[in-house]
This record gives sequence, structure tokens and C-alpha cells, in this order.
Amino acid sequence: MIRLIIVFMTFFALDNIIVIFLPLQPLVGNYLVIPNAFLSCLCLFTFYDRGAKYENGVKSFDYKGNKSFLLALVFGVLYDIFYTGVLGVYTCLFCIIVYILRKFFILSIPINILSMVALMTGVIIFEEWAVFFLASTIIHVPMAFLNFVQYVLFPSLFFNGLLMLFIYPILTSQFRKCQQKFD
Amino acid sequence: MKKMNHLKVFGIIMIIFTLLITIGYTMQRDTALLPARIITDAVSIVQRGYIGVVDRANGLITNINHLFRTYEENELLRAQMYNEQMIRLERDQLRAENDSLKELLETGETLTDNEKMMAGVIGRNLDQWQDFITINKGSQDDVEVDMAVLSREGYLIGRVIEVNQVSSRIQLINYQNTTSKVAAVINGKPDSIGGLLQGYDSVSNELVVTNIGRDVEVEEGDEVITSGLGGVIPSALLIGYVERVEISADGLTQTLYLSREGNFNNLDFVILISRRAVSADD
Repeated sequence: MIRLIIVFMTFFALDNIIVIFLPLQPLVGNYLVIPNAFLSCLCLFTFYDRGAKYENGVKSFDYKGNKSFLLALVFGVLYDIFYTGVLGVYTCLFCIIVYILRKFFILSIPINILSMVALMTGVIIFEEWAVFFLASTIIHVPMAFLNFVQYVLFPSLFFNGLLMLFIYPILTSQFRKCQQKFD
Repeated sequence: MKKMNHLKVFGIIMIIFTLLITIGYTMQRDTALLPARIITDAVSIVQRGYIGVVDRANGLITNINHLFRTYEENELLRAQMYNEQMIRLERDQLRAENDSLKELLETGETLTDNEKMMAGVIGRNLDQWQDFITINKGSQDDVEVDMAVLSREGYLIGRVIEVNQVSSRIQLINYQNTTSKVAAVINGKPDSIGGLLQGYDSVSNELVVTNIGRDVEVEEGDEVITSGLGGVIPSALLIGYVERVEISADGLTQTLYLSREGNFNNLDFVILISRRAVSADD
């Protein structure tokens, strides 16, 4: 569990570090890139959040793990307080995403780098759209939806796809160690 | 089809309502709740650790980079140094003259008096919510609410909205808020005094200043600075340079579009400026 918390905390800070230190802006011009390293980490962990059982020498998985929910909730609250200042947005979104993943995707998608990049594309489209929708409902957003898609969503998807390629090996090696401890 | 559990539906509706209530409640409050402040401080300490590590590595790389350009820079700086001396002498003279004139007038502190402080950025979120950054100085370092904030290049970027023990929050001027506008004026054109910094066009990366009178002659490249009349932000802080001018929709005023070096996305450290002159509320 301590390993998990360290991994999650690192990726929580990574979002921030990418924004502050990576000189993306001169490269991409007017486009805005939103890094989603933490969300990638959470989604990938959902796939590893299960215990394994051995019955008659056959390994079968038990999908009752609830650590991903707990982490989504706790880090969602932290995310809200530290990054947005509005309570309830990411807390709810992260939990919804984890719920949907567990309900519909966790059994049907294999864990490999390409499928995870594809999955993250979908998840980020949903997450960014939901945030934009909530923000434009409640406060004034200085951007039209099509502009948002063109200048924010597409570059973010591209960047997060690239990011996933780099962080996938690190994350899987860490999560495998955690999974072995559940057994 | 499986029958939907009533309890589940009720639970989902309750969650949505709680979400809306907490969002509405925290949006309305000016200051954060006490637990939120403590958590912000705690998280900011952790973030500072991570950023310190990355900063060290980053510093090493840039140092090596700088080594290769030292000679050129040295030549340039030497050339500038001679100029600098002249400017310093002139400045000292002007300052002395200004002080004596102020004494003569007995005005005390004016709108241009200010104090500067540096701070590192430790938190930034780029999504569509309130655009603010978190810095690593708080009430321990005498940060106060409503201090003006400049970017590294010296442009106005926002003001302090929340001060915790070891961290504070800065609201950026590109975030649209009907209650916080900045009074702006064109440098050297005192008849443009009514200007208001109204917002930010994120697509073209331009700031928008409205309410400049029809009779003011605006040229491309004019400097727009703060006028200090809003009562919060000190005067004579650079906002940007005029890029283009348009007549407003009602035909009575002009709207200026300003460009500036850099933008709001890569901020690693900022400069805080406190206003010493007494504002109207005091």
C-alpha cells in the first residue's frame, strides 16, 4: 500500500511538474496541452486492482478489489483542493471513471501498451469533455466548444498518448509488485 | 433485463445533488474552508519536494547550456553596462528630485510606491476551471491578499486571492471574473485613463482592454500599464503592447488588443508586488 501511495503521489505531482517545467508552449504555439498523468495512472491501476486465486492449480482472478475506488476518492479530493479550488469535480469524475472501467472494460480489454493508449484516449475525451461541460455550465469559459476541441482536446490527446508510452512500463512494473502482495 | 435497484437510483441522485451543492458552496466562498487550507499547505510541502528535485536537474542542464554561450553574453553585458551607469545616475537624480518635490507637496506615499518579493510556482492546473497558480510563500513571508503579481518577463499576470501558512493562491488576469477588473492606461497618454482590462482571448493569445475614449490616438506598439486607480493593484505595471485597435460595438469607445512576450502557461517563478499607498477602503 505504501508503494501504491508513493506511486500515486508522484503522478499527482507529475501533472504539475509537466506544466511548470516542460517548455511545451514554444513548441505548440497557441495550442494548450493538458497533461493527465495522474488519470492515466489511476486507469491503469484499475486493471491491476484484483486479487488472484488458485483453485486446483488454475489461476483465476477475483474482481472484488476496492483500492482503486478508495484511491480515486482520496486523490480526487486532493486534486480538487490543490488544483481547482472547487470541491466535488474531480472527486466525482475519478470515481465515475473508475466505476465505468470496472463495470464494462476491465474484463474485456487486454493489458498491453496499445490497448491502454487507446483506452486512455477515450477516457481523456470523456474527462475533458465533462470538465468543460461542468465549467461552462457553472462559470464563464472564454472558449467555444469547437475551439476547445481544436486547441485543447486534440493536442492533449496526442500528448497524453505519448506520455502513456513512456509511463506504461514504469507503472506496470510497480503495479505487478503490488498485485503479488494481494495474493 | 435486470430490474434496476431503487436504492441504487436513489444513491446516484443523492451523489449528483451532493456534487452540485459542494460545487456551488465552494464557488460562492471567497476564502477556502479551514480543512481545505490545511490540506493545501500539506500538499504544497510535498509538491515542493518533488519540484525541488526536478528543479535541481533542470538547473544542471541549463547551466551546462549556458556555459557554451557565456562569451557572447559577456560581450553583450559589457556593452550594456556602460549604458547602465548612465541610466543609474539619471535615475538617482530623478529620484532625488522626485523626493524633494514630494516633500514639497506633502503627498506622502503615492500609487507608484511598492515592494517586491520573489516566489516559486508549485501548483498549476491548466483545465477550464478558475485559472490560478499556487506559490511557495504564505503568511509566514508576509504575503497578503490583493498583492499584484508579475511574470518573470515583468508583465502583470494576476493578484493574490488566498493566503495560507506556507502557500498562497494567485488568480490570473486571463480568468474572466466580473468582480475583478484591472484599471489600465496607455503610457504617456493620460486622457486614456478610463481603460479596463476586460479579458483574454486564448485562441489568439491577446489581452483585451476596453473603454478607451474615441478621441485618444492609439498607435500600434503603445505600452499599456496599470493606472492604480482600481484601489488594489499599484500603478505603472506593464500589461502589454497594443497589437490592434477596434471601435467597440456601440461606437463610443475603442477596444485594444494587447500582445506580450510569453503567455500564462509556462510560469516557473513570479514576482509579488505589494501596494504601499492607502486604498480608498482604509
